[in-house]
Amino acid sequence: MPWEYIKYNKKNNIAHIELDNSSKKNSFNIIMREELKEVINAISIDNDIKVLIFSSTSENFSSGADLSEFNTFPSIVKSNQIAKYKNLWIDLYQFEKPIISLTKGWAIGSGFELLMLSDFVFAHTSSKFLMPEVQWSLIPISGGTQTFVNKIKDLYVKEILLFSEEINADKALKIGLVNCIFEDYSELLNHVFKYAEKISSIDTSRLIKIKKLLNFSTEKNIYFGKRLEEIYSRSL
Amino acid sequence: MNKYNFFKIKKYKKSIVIAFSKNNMTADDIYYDLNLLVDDINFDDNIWAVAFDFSKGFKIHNACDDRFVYLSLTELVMNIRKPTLCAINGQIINRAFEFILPMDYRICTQNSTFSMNQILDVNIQFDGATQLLPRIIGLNKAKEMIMFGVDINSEEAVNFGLINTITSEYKIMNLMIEKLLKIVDFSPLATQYTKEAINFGNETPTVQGMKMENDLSSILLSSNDRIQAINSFKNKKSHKNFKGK
Repeated sequence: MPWEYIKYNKKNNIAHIELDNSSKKNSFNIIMREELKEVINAISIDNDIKVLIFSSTSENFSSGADLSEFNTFPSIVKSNQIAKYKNLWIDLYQFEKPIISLTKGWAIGSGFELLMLSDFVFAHTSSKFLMPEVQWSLIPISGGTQTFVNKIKDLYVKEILLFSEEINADKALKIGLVNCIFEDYSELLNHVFKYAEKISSIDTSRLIKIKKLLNFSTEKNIYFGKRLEEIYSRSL
Repeated sequence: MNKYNFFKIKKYKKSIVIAFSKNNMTADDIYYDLNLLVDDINFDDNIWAVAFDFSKGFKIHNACDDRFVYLSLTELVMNIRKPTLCAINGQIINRAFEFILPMDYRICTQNSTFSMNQILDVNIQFDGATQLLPRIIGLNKAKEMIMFGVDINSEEAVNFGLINTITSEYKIMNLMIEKLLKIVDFSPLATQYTKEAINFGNETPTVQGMKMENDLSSILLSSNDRIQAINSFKNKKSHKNFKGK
């Protein structure tokens, strides 16, 4: 099926989504978000697929939400309902299979937040990260205030979200935003696909359970997570 | 703002810097003033960010008045809805250490040290350290500091995520003012809601937190600041003139 703003490929148990809106620096518009939601829901029920990769077709990963669509909503109530109950980002947080993202150039706003919804992030040395929302009287709306807290230390979360500090690839690696960085892009691509193949060789049901358990560990209710761990380990 | 007994307040644009009139304060001295100040900060639309100046050192002694022994100073700091920063110099121990933990941005000098040795005095922390410190520096390091009274220097503090930046004693106040002025250039509504959502995210399941983030974002939709900022963006202009409305 042809998509307007994404490219989708499926090969050897690996799904690959490329953000493809290069005329607008890979910003997320309404259609692109709907396309992503549809593809992700299809991938989640496709038993052949064991791992999902995100990357972009252009030199930047994504410049975030398409601000030209802002202030065009017909009703605040309607817009809140759509944001809350047709939420692509919640679908991604609850996506059961492993997600690997590969980033280069800028990852801004929702683009950055998409990386934080991924399980593994591999970055090119050209990567730069920014959450500019407070500069435009916005707050993150793709889960940033919640997912950053789960991934990196509180102090860095506030540096990035409250002070809108720009982060380069080296700092991203140091504070735990990305798993590793590569100077050579083709080497990075090669590494990501090898990594995905390695993951896809593991039994899917086991992967799904482990991912769920790890995500539970950030949900604060440690006793419930511990009990679930016990139940899951008995069922393996 | 001269109604406080122990605080000296200076204004910088839309922010204030709070200095203590003496370095050795008792918890009850601070509690009286801070209780008043937090309300003033939260309800004053002209204050968009707050900084605490501990550049001359900072110690808190236990309360003289028994009624104040277990009253929480950190809870008062946590109640400040606006971004909070602090500039730290020297030895920060026990309650003074607990006091800085809820702040959003911490700068210190090279010769600052941090320790919590209540356990050596056959006591335990009671002003939030056991809950806040593990969230900030991780459980293992927090246990080392709290259970064994291990102290850390400024470099370790940066490596563990306790401190954002180290600077010299001469530059610390300039750096803090620079950070303050940076944050008051942003929309105060956006910084307050972002802070609220991050802190809420520390306490709640992620999906619930994401829905709360959406609700806060929807409240911002109707603000003048947001409408004007987006219009400026569409006209390819930067927007610095936020009003907090």
